[in-house]
Amino acid sequence: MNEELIFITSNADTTGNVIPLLHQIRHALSQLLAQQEETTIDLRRLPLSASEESQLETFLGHGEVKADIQALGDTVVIESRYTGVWLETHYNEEAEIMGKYVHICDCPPLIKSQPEDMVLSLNNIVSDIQSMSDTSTNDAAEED
Amino acid sequence: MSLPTLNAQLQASGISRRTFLKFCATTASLLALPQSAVADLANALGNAKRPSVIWLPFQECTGCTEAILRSHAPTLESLIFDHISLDYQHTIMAAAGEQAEEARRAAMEAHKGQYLLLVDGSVPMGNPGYSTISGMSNVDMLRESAKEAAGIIAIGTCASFGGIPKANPNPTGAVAVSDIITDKPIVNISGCPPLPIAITAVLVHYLTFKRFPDLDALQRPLAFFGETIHDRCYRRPFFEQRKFAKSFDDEGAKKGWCLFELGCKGPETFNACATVKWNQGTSFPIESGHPCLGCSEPDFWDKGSFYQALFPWERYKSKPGKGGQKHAGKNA
Repeated sequence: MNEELIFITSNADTTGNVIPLLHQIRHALSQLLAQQEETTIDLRRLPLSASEESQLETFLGHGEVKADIQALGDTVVIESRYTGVWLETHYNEEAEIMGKYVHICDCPPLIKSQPEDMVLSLNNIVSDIQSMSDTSTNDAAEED
Repeated sequence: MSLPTLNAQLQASGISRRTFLKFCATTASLLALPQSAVADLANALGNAKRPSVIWLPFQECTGCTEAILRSHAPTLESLIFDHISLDYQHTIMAAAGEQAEEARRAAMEAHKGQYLLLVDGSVPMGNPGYSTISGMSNVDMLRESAKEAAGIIAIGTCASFGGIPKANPNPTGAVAVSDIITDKPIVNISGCPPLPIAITAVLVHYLTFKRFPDLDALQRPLAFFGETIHDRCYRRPFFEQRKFAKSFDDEGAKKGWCLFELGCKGPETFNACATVKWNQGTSFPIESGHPCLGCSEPDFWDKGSFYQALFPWERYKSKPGKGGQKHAGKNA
């Protein structure tokens, strides 16, 4: 039996979709400036090879903002070197990529605090302040 | 009976809205919905009532159940599986025999016309005694459970098309769910096993829009079965360049060339394995060096050798309609 390891390689990396996609991003950015119209491009729905995806990411590069969100697995949101163009990648808890998007907007929706969470947050802060006040009062009473 | 909404359940579980939005974004992507619909999806899904689900495993190997239940550690998809009220699944439920059947009938009565029926496995018609549950034949249980169901999801190729039990000479007279039930909306999520995420996505679509997603002519969700494995295969450029592996250990195989001549059924198989992948996104059969067996298509077991080319390369290249056009275009 031949024990030689078989390494599968591939140079099947040319769908030709990178340049059209970059033009779509350029167009979306001009629409954002002209009409405040936001665009999201779902990279998972586009035929892109792994090398083309990395070509796209290299082209977009990193700008000033990077946000890590922990929500049932990580989500990484990076503003590209083109202000207003964001790359958002969702991972699950096993670090598997669940989704990858290019947002053309001033702030991707997932970065914003959500009203539903803020309601809960308000309840929590009220209760935490109350606990802190109670503790302080008890400590003061013990000192007296 | 008042059932909680998904929002209420998520809040009780400490799941943030942001997490839920992330789930909605990935599910919208899987269902080929525009990302602009994510906010609407989140609102409708969040306000959806917890659905009652009755799951009937018939003539099957439990592979479909295993694929779904063991597919992931707690993940975004589990939000939905945790949300449904799974009132009957005799493979995994603690109750057995009459107790289990009582639970099924109680759920049917309480949620008449509203519960979803999930079925995996084919139904033996040659002799009802080939497969029974608590003394009841599969066909009788299917007819009884389907009667007041809002819709049916056939999970796996056996429930969808008869699958391996139906393979020649079909000793049990196995048939698909849709061969028996003809007056209910049915979605076939074929595959041996099927992609778990496809089931989650169909449930999400149903909860959100109160109907099943658009289907192909074989009643499979177009979002997952609209394209062939070949359409999205990363080895496809080699097919176009006519670079084929001729054996499993030749130079072509080592270079990752197309497996068409080794019998790959990708060009005629509609499924999303090439994009969704298996085992936590590790790979899919072709990526692991094996041709696609075509397991999500009817009668896949009886289509000749798994290791013979489907047809001459030139014939495929001259075909007018390729990819998703073959089965496309039916709306449930």
